[in-house]
Amino acid sequence: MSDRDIWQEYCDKIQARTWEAVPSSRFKTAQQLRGQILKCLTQASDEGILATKLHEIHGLLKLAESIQDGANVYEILGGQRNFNRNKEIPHFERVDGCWFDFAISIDQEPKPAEILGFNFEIRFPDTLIPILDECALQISLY
Amino acid sequence: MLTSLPLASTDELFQRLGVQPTGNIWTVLVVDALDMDEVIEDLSETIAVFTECPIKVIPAQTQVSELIEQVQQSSEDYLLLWAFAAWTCEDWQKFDAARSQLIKPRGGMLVLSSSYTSMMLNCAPNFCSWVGSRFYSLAKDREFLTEQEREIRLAALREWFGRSDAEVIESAESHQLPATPEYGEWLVLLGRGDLIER
Repeated sequence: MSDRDIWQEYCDKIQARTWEAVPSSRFKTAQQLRGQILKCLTQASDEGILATKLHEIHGLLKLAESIQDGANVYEILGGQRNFNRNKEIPHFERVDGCWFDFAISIDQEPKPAEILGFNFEIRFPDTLIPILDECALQISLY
Repeated sequence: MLTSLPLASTDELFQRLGVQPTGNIWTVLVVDALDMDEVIEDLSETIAVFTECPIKVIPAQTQVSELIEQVQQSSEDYLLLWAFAAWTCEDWQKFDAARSQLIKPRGGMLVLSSSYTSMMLNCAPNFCSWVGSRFYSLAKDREFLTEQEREIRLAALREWFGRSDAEVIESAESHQLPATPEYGEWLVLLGRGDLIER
């Protein structure tokens, strides 16, 4: 098995474990879940954890809907799409320099609403690599 | 005065509610009459996240005394009052006189259309004075992607995956689209959330 296959298998296991932790029915609508996320981000900004300012959060945390043809699907969007990890593209940022964006698909047609899928990526600055290496070493020792 | 009301998106309103000190604080929100039902539904679903307490939505009755009674008897800490279309100036004057009975642990919000706000301002001046600067005109739907923002996201998806919108829809219709979050988002942005595999 190649390194890529091993990594893919590793990612699939993490995804499955993460999916099991996804809250199943703690919100009724995409608007409500988005509101919960807005509150979390606002609190993080107020507490000095998130460097992104309150007015910037409004511009980054968005909603898209697809309610035609019998669909009732929403997308909560946190930051712009950034496949190439270009820091010039608007994103959320923590005070330690880590930056992230995310997207969540929600189907409101079943009651209560359910998450269809999501992605989230957080990027660490180079200055944190020695700390991460140390954490990885500590974890491996256990 | 109506034209000079500060615009506020729902996000800004929610954030203001979240930092409000605990206490009997009331807000007035002016919305377009055509959006009223949708706004009430959205507010009722999300306000509790920021007030961190149960809320109750109360449509104003033709009898002011009935509304005041419902306010006093409700056990919820925050109230959303709306549907004032049938009220006359006399009703607002009665409401104004009864303002000292609007006591809730976290206060509440009056939601009314611009066509009735003038009547409230003229006929319930003491209540309006009490509300003070917490009068807002709703800037609706700012939380949704603009067309430009939607196109930017679609362009990023097209470039990364090297596919066109038509190809993605065709794959989805033939049940051959990979079940990844990016493709799910792509379909939503195209207004084809119905094609997302469940």
